[in-house]
Amino acid sequence: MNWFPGPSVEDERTEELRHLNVPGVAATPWRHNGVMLRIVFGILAIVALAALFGFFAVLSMPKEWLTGLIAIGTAEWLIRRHHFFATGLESALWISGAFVLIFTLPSSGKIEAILVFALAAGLAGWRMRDAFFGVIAAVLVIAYVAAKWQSVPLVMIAASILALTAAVALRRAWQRPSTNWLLAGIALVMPPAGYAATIFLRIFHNFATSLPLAMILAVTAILLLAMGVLWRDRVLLISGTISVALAAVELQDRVDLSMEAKLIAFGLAFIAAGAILARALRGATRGFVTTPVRVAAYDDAMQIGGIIAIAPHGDHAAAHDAGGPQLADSASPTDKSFGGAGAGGGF
Amino acid sequence: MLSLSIASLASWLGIERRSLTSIFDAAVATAIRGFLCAAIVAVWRVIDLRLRPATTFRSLFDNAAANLAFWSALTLAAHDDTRLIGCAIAIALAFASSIYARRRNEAAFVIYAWVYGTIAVDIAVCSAIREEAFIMLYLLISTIAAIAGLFISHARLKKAAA
Repeated sequence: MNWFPGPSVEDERTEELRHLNVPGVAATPWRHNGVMLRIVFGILAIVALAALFGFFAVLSMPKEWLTGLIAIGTAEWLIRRHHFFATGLESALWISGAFVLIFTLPSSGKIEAILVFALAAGLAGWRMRDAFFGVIAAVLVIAYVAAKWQSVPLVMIAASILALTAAVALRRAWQRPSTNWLLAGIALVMPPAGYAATIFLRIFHNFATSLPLAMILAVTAILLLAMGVLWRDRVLLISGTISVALAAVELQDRVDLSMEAKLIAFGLAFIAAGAILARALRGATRGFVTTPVRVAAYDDAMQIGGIIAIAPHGDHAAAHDAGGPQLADSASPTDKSFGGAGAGGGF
Repeated sequence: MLSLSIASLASWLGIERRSLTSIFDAAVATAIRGFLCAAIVAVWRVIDLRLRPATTFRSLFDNAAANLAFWSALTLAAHDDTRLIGCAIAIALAFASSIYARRRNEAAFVIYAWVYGTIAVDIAVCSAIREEAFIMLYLLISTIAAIAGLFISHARLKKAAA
């Protein structure tokens, strides 16, 4: 008897073929959604659970137990009865339920609590065969290392070892595509996750450039790029490039140039690298090739969200008793508190 | 580049996203600017389609105009004085969005219709209910209804496209 039903190895591989638009591949019995829809369903599921939690809280009922059990019970019901898997709904219910149930445990305020959350994320990742939850578990382990030992080089070494181990493991032909996704996710996320943890460690203390940290990132980048080139793996190439960028960010204070000059230099370097690569790989059909890729059916929608998010904005200008906005209130070069189109201060 | 241009236009008109809650914190005047921006984008789309029918920017224009209009409607809905009109506009936009999604087979517009439409109805209903337990219960039911509705609508769209 299968205690934890889900897509078999064959089902997962069939779905991968369907994603590649291979003709003549029959559908599996499992319902699934694309990334954008999974995110939307995940958010809606969390909103519903929050409302349920609030409802039990208002009625002074054991909110953690009830919400957690109902969430995991509903997720399992959707999987077993309706063959939901990777729809976003059952995944969000499962991990939220697991996290809520953790709050029923007696709290001692120990750092090891982070590992309990990592375990819950790992458990949800294993049950749902969801690489995202597996990566969250790995990130939480790095957060634990940071909180426990508070050593910048140690945190970065731990993250780099995880990334490199995942990179090496990617060489093996795994039966389940979801295992490949998990390893690719860890290889990709660990360098920035480790670097982010070191920033959190330093932000409350004397934030100084760390040469050892930059060296660890540089070595990680070299190894990842070498593996990427040797094994023709673009995930490793992306991860290596991210590590190079992080090492450069870490060393930025050692370069005696203005921030604008550094940004311009980096921008030009990226444009040059892109142009050189595009030219070198034009028409290539063997080895390294370039292929136009549409990320998802929601590219345009994502562009709008992304661009609005990075659109220049700054803090509101200070209030004025009389006389209107003052130029001296401008908070930064991108502060547009004066607005355009006739907008007054504050826009 | 086009999305950057639209974002610059929105910023120039005084529309910006400071945080996730900024839609609800913005002033009524910002909502009106948002509608104006959506209208400009819609006109821009029509002109672009007339002058250069071969370009493939229609979807980007449509997504931008829809989001700007929905955000502006929700901003209106967040204020006591303009709540009803804001909710009514958002619900009307949700209906239009679902019709557009079916005609053009655009899955993103089904999501807009259900998510923004549900938020608008939730704002209207929750502002009328005083009892906290009922608000929570209502939000639970409305969110489950939105999930079910989105699931069915999206499945129909996929079936029609197949």
